[in-house]
Amino acid sequence: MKGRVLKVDYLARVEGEGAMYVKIKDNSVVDVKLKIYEPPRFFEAFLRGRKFSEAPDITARICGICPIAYQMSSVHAMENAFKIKVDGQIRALRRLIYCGEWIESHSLHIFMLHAPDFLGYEDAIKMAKDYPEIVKLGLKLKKIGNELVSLLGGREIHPINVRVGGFYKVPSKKELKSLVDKLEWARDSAIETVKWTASLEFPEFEQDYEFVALRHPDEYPFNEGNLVSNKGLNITVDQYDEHFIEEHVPYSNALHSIIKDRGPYFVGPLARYNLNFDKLSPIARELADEVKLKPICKNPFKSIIVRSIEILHAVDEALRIISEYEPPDRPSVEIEPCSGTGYGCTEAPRGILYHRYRIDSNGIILDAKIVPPTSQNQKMIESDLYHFVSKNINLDRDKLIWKCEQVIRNYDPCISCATHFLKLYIERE
Amino acid sequence: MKFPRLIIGVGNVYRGDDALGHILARYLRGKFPCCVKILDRDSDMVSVIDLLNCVERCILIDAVCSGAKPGTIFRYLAHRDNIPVKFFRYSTHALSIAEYVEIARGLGYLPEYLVIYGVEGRRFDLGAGLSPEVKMAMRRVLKSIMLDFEGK
Repeated sequence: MKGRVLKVDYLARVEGEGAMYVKIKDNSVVDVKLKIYEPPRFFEAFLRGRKFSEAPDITARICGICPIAYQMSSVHAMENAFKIKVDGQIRALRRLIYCGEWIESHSLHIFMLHAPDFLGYEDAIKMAKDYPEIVKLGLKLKKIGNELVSLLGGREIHPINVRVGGFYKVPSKKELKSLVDKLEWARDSAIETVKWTASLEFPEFEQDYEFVALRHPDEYPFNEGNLVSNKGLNITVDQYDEHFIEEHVPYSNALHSIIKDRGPYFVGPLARYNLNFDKLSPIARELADEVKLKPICKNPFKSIIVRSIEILHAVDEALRIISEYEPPDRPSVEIEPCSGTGYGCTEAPRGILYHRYRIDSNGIILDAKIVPPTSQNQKMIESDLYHFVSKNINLDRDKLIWKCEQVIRNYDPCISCATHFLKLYIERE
Repeated sequence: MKFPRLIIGVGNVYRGDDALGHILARYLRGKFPCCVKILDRDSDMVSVIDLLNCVERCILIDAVCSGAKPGTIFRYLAHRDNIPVKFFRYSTHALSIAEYVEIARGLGYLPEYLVIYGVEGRRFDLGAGLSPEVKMAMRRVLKSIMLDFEGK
């Protein structure tokens, strides 16, 4: 094994410009680097000087798969700055559009990106030939998520109907009811999906993670709550900067986030599930119990089961919101901009997404800070790779690389948000 | 029941040569009003699978970035041959048109006749407009599509 360099160009199902580098010396891992050399995208910089009302539409452009998360974090931050509270049916509609995003994003990851890892296929194209019914189910679930986002957001990608204070236009009861049959099908299909994902084989792998997610007293978190962890963190969103810092590392154009004085942490479905199991809908909790997924799951490979449980929860929540829906008198609350700083954090499909804006008295953005979930998970991905390769160091070259790719995909990394990465190198000395 | 024929143009009108699919599809809509669908690059390309599953004969037009000389025209009989991997765009979240076509093949959803036209773009910058190479290629693609569509 000495003197070997293992290199994989174009890690499949991962996007962007960069590389994963693992160095092994004397049969020990000595270095792991997530090298992101995609140029920075400067969204925070070009938000400066723009009106507060433009933030939802500008930040939605950061990501094609989780634009709702960007819109939600930005509107919550602005409303926080202007001391405005949005509640009632407008708040419910925000949860509903978020349900759509979770359904479509999780479906894509489970069926198109993650499942081929477990079934031994290079990609979903090859998997589709042998598992057509599974792929059809995944595509149909994704489409239902898209329809929900389209109905509320005006279109499925980069929606244009979300504004600070609410929506530009709200749907009628009839429009929402038109989705009920499809969502009932989706609930049955999500149950099937949970059972199917739980039947896959998982490597034994756990670390002593610090999971971080929102926690709300009454609901599984989408838009609101305190930031909590399994290691004692419990803060309001406006305290984020006191506890989390972003570090620049020389080999990456994406900043690494850590918890001050503690280090890397884990955000996303697994963190949400572990910190909010009791807030899942009863049907989602029952299914977890039925497939023997305990309320605390520390194996990131099992995130595929947790994502399917979150689809089930999102579908169930969507049906509940639709059944209780009464169109509000106005689609949004009135906004009076004032100077101040606003903080927002919501649960994107991949984990917490933090926004902070400083606004002047005319509603102009003076500065902005955006911390996407993948940026927060980067250091944890490196840590997982370090420990996984150490534990499986004697695996042959191809198998080890294959497994390393899975370790990365467990996090469903959105490199468009955190910039991008692409290649995987393992060097043995 | 399947529709007899469909032209799908894919692209982003604001991004240089990526507008090709849009522009050709808009022109062809004038000639075949009921047989043209435009997919904006901002929409979820997953819908292409459903479109392919409901038509007998289909032509799909898109700009490509494969490293070939700008203006190079690729024509694939996709009902017969796999699309080369160089046209797949690796992404965590968004599969490319080529990848969705291949998934449709795996699911048995391909129409009996599917021709894909790809034209190598030179520039995809915001507001760049079509490059002269792609403009020249468009005329040839159009002639070929008319033969594909009308001749059979």
